[in-house]
Amino acid sequence: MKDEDDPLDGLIDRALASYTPRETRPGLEYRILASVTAERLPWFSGWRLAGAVAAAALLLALAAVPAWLRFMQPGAGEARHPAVAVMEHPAQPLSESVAVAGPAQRTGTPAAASVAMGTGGLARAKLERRAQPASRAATEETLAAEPIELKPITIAPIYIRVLN
Amino acid sequence: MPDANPIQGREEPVREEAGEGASRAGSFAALVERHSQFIFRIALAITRHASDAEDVVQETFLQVYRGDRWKRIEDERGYLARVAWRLAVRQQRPRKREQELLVEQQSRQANPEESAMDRQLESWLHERIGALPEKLRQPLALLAVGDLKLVEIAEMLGLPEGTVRRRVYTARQKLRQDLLEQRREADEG
Repeated sequence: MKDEDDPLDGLIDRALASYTPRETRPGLEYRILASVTAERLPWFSGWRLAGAVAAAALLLALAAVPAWLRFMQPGAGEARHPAVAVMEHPAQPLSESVAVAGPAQRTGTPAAASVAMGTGGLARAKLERRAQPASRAATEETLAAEPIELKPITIAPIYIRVLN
Repeated sequence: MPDANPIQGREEPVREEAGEGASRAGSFAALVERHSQFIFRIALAITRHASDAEDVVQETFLQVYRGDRWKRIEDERGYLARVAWRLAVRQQRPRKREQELLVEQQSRQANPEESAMDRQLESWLHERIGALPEKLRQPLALLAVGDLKLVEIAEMLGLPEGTVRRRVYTARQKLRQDLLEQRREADEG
């Protein structure tokens, strides 16, 4: 019986020997080292970079939300901008003062803008309105009593000569 | 012409690092050189598929590299074999005839002098080995790798050495029985 089994054992041994081939797999070491290198790539590569960008964007958004909410609060704009800015151009022949309402215009207040055009009387009235009676000094009193005369300035006509 | 190099412009991916990193990477490369083919054969014995086996080898070395574990290994071969076996078992697909054929083809290329009849019988035996229950096939296939002792296989599988010896014996007996039956059928036919 034993003599009969020996060739069978030999067959099994041979089959087992070729069951897992012994030849080397070319380039295997290189591929392993390449995958290890890929593992060791710097943080700013691939998905890590995408993650960092996404995190930065999220942080920016979070930082911007409180500022945006503050901006959207009613009256916040008025606090930042003066209610009325007066621009005067007394040197012009027709004195012109422009009052521009900044935020009031945005909120829809009707007293938005007024344009006053006119003579010295109007200008004086404006000056009187702006003056503070309680804090007038003696010099100011004198100046206020004197009439202010605004002389009209004449501008020479402009001639346009067409050549040829 | 496209460059076959996976990392273009890099001759040696890990070894080219400078300073302390160079010796570290260098010794890791040496570890890979020492054991990669052996680990590949273990993975192939379990998965029976060359590309799956290579995946297992790569994952094995990556796991060992991560956390600098490879520096503290005392028994490199045993440790790597255990990691590879665990990963290979996880990677193992349901065995298919085409996988068996793939490995058979490789083994045939290795022994071109064999007669057609021997090859046919060998293929048939490979099929029978593949049909064994996993608990019998794994110790037998690991023993077939050739570089592993029974003690190492036992340690790898987490079994007592006696159990492994018994399973290998049972597997061989089963194969012998199959061979006898096949011969009997051939004689009758």
